[in-house]
Amino acid sequence: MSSLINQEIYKLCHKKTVQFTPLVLFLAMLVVGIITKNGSDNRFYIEAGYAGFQWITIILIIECASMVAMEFQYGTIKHLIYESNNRMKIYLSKLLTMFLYDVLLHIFTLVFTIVIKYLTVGTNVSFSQNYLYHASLFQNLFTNTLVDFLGSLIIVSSVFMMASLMNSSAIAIAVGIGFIFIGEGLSSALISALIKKIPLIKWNPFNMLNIANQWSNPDYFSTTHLTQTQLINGNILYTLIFIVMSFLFFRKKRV
Amino acid sequence: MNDFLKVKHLNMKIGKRKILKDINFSCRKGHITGLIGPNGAGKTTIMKCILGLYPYHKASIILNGTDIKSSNILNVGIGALIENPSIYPFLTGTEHLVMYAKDKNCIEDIVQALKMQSFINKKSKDYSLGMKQKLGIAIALLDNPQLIILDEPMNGLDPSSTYLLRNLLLKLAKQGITILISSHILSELEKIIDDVVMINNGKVILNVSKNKLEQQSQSTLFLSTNHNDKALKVLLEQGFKAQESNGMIKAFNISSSNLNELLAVIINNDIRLLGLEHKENGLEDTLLKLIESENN
Repeated sequence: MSSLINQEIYKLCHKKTVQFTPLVLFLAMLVVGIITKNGSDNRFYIEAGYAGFQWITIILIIECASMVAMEFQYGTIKHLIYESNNRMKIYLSKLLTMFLYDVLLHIFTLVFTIVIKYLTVGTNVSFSQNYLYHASLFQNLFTNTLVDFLGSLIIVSSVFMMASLMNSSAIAIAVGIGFIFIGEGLSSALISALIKKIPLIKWNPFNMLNIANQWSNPDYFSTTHLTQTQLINGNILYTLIFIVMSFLFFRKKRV
Repeated sequence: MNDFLKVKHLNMKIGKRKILKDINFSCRKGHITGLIGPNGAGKTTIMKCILGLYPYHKASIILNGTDIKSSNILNVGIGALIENPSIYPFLTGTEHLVMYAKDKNCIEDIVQALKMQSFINKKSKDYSLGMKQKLGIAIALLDNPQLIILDEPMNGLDPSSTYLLRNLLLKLAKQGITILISSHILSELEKIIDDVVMINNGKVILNVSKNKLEQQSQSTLFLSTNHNDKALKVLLEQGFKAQESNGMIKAFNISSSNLNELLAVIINNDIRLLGLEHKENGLEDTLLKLIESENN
């Protein structure tokens, strides 16, 4: 298993897209930092990691989809299977590697936010000043990073599931990005139309994507109809469901 | 006895179509076994079953004494090249070998043995078909595997690379490594194999050692005499299959048992032999004949 994880990390580190990710992420966040530095809502953008979390989502979708689908596209899955003789080990090594990459991306975003804050607004906005939940701005940023990480797990697991169903990483990426961008709107439309008739509709998986939004803006409760704790539990539950389902698809996938 | 790999009662269905029908054969340790047959016969499917790429039921595949279906851990290293080489376009050849190898010390030797030094540090997306094939073979040879399974390894290789591969496989077999190989280039294959397993329509139609096959094989004799008409007449009278062709007599199905008899017929009839050419029926002829008789 450790040799499979090492192979996955090796492949990931040798991809050009992954090598340039920190630079692209930093530049994208810096642009947001420069545009918003004279605005009145600096604290919101700092707490939201200068939109870095949104970029992370797209990066994760691309890498997750390609990590699974490329093995079938290039035929390299055959080597992995006869080498390990166990599809579950292959699947878990990919999942663990992607979770590690997810952690790393969130650490990058946290560090880049601190750097960009000093580059753009300097000491005019202090990390120690009070913000939401009677906590300091830095505590809010840190907690938001953790909440976004939790929310990203459902994305990682759902994209793994889609990639296990498809042979082309391009299709898995397209569906994954569609899932994220249309999902929140779709959930909101479904809830507002059906919440009175079907109260369970608020537990639809797309609604779970609002976890980070609701953390940054508690007014989102009117959209999600779920408390923050319910969203956390829902995210964990759906992540587990998607992990199990994607393994079942991965195990049955024809080589 | 000395069987390193045994395949017993291997059946396989894809949908309603039966792909493999009670396949039984074995590969002896240190032998090169050629798995041959027409396209779609089931060669790659057999190899995939051995490698655990396809599930199979009610069959046993025994590798070095252990049924690989009942064991999650293979007790021997296996190297394989199945269909296309397992290559990521964004990695160089060296990066592939470093990533896959548990024992990094063997990499240099393999690169040299396959003469890959000129391209091994280039990204594999820029490789030609032959280069990719060489890299796929190199990957299969990593970590000193005890069993090597090669599916059409000569695809895309130039003559010198084919020669290199042939000698390398013979050397590995001498070291005790068991090799199962399939190829449509039968003239190349018959230079290296010790045993033959012929497959047609998902069934084993022949499973013998190459020596035995050669003993059984019949050949064609081309005779040139001072009286071809007379020679043809007496040969046909004596029950030989023969015909005149381009000023020569072509005698069919000649083996070590009836060669002397044929020559005696010619000489005893006062016919002078001017020339004699012997053409051995190769693996290709044997395969074609067997498939023809199977289909009939």
